[in-house]
Amino acid sequence: MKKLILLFFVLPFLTSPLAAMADELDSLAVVKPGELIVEVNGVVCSICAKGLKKNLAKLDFNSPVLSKKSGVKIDIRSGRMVMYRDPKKPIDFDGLLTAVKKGGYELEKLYMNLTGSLESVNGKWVLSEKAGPNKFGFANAPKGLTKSNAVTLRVMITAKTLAKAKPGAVVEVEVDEITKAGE
Amino acid sequence: MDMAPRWSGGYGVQLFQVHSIADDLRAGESMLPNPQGLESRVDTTWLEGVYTFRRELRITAKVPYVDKSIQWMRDGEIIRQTGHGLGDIVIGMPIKKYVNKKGYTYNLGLTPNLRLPTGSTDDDWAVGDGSWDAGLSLSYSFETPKWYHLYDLYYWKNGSGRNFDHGDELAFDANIGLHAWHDGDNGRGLFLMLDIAARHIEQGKNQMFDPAGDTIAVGPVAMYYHEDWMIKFEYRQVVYDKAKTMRFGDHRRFAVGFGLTF
Repeated sequence: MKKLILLFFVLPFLTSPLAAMADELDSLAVVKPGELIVEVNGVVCSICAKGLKKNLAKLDFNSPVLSKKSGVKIDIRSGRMVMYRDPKKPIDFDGLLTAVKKGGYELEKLYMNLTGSLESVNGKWVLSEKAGPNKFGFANAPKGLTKSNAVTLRVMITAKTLAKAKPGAVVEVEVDEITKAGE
Repeated sequence: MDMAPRWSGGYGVQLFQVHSIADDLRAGESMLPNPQGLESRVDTTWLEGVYTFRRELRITAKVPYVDKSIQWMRDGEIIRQTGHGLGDIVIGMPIKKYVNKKGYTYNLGLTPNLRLPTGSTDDDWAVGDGSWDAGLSLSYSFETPKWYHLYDLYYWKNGSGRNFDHGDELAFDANIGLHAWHDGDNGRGLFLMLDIAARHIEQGKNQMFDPAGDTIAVGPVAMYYHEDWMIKFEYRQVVYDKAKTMRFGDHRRFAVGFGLTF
């Protein structure tokens, strides 16, 4: 009897670190135009994340063109869910956080491409999307920015930023790359 | 994998068919002669359901249908006794604490269980003993995109039965394996695992062949999933057996499960 109890406490300690060491994850997310990549902690199998996929697919700004079924693809190696968003619709960040939480996981980061006009408002740079109502601020505004009517950025938003954001406020993004700038 | 459905409001059902046969006669660690080829056979079909209130709290129900037979010798004649019908329903309430990190997830689970005396006590070899039983399970599961481990330690305190009693049971189950293949775009994947099941069963009362003793069984498990459904195959062979009294041993168990999540 004692041996069985001992096994329960010893085996997990022996095997879990080996498993963690065995997995090395992809690092950078390569986001294509129109995509919204939702990086989630703990997603390691498709069937476990079925509820999460369902919740994300229900979000109003999801555009189900990536997959016939839900419009959400999953890459378990990186823990990233790939959605295609409709830029004409506002991104419901609160809804996104709730969808991930109710799906059984925690949001880590979001990646997307933004195309729109750039202007300075009260000393802070704001990007207004060309196709829709979404506006974004910059947490790390690159030096030498100038007002522009056509700029395309690859950006990342952390879950911490979203948790701190006030309802209706402009969400701050971290700029990874300016891929195209005009004027 | 054991987490499905971990999403709030998710539910699932599984049909699980277990075929178990034993044809060695054992006393202690010794094998007794069995020239007549006596055997014991148990077929159980489980209908299992789970509902997830939120990932930390679920409710489960397992309803068995049992069909079994056993042979023994009396005055030089082979006697065959059978039992069949609805078995004891098991209700559980898993409470889980999840930790999700980049590239892995693990959870600790505590599950109180109640086994209801719904099984018939009337047959020659009765399906149930007519007792209310309480169980407690402590589990730990760790999973990465490649590896899967589940360890489950549980105890059943068996109440007093009508004509006979099952002894209390302490068990340890381990599933160690890998996520051998997956296709994230189409929601498909395959798990391959080694299943280890160790049991310590106390002696009961007035049982013809008391299962009391210590056993360790091992075998492979394969589970394939595709979007909403999964199918799994299990085979388990006893590799260590120490009987408390004379009983059948060398159990071979084959199981097939089909499940759906919603």
